[in-house]
Amino acid sequence: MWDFEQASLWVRRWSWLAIETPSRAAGFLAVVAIVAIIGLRTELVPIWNLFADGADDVKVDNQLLLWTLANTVHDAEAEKVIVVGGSTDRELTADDPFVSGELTKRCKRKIQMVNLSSSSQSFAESWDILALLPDRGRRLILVGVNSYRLGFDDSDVESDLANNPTGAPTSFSLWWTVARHTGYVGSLERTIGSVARQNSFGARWRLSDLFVPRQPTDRTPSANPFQPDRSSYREPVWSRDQKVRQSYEYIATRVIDFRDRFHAGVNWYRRLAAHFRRTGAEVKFLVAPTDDSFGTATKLESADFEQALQLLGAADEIVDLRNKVSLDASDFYDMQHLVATGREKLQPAFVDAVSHALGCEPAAVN
Amino acid sequence: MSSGTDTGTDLVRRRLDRLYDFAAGAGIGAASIGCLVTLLLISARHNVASNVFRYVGF
Repeated sequence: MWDFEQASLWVRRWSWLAIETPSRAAGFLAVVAIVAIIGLRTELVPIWNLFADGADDVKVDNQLLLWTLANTVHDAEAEKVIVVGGSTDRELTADDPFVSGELTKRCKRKIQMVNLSSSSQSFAESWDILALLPDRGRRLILVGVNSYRLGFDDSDVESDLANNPTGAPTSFSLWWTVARHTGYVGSLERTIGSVARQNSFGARWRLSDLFVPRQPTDRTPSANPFQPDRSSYREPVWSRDQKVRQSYEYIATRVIDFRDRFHAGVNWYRRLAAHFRRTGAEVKFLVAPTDDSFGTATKLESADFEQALQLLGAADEIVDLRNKVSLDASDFYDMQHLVATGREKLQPAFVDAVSHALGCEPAAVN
Repeated sequence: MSSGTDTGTDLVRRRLDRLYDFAAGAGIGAASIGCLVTLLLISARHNVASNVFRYVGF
């Protein structure tokens, strides 16, 4: 058994660690404790969302997404339908409160639909956004897929790990999944990069943000439910020639890429689905309609794309909105993004498909 | 025999000594954290964690 003298001698041996005197040790430990508390609080408490209260002149895309995300996180109890994906999916649906109202009427229970898609949203971003949502309450997650979003591989996921244009911080679950499957260990630091990104699109950071998260404030519904605030695409739409030229550019740059890489993309989306299903959510993959001008590209990659959909889960796991309604060239801004008239035509089919996925009774036929 | 003033001065001096010691310890703590953060940044820059993780066989 040690006596006090032996313990004292042992302590003195470690004097280079600055614990020679009690006061010095107290100073050392005080600084370490304060920095550790601030660091952990910064990384683990949701103080990163600078657009949560809508105060920083929220206008567009990423800012609106973060504001919407804060509201969604805040309302943890409502049954939710969450859409994530790229700009095609962002333009797919009418204003969130409007669609929520339609689903609530159809299913006769309160349902909140939230579209958290954004321009060129990467796989990693979709995962990070979904990971921020509370896992209480019933959730149906609709993940938008198309040949653009499925054409990526492990190296893209690694490089996207710390690169979230929306400002959403990297999730630990994705960090660990990437480490397990690729061996790449990304940075555990999530908040500084997120705040820096938000500063770059107009947020103003205050010192109080370090201690107190901004409280979400309600967003007002859009004046026209079929032209939601998040939508960037408005009439007049492109001409046929412009759309065809875009599809040729797509063929030149994307089709071979998709064929070479979609298996890796499918595997990553299956991991995403498996992870969020383990948290209790239902996950389905959403396929949006495209303009006729996309036809040539569609023919070139349809076999691969259909194979990808089969690998993702075939009919049970796919919400396929292609060919559900008759959409014409005036409904698409370019080869894939809907405008208000297209959204209005597609809305009933979207509500039907989602309510079917939620297990609601079909609408009565007059 | 020391006077009351001397005792008071000694007390203040001892408290100041402890305060300086506390500040020295805080400074060393801050410097240690700074070194640790620098080390982490350099490791991240050179993918040290990934290389170790892959070497270990994950």
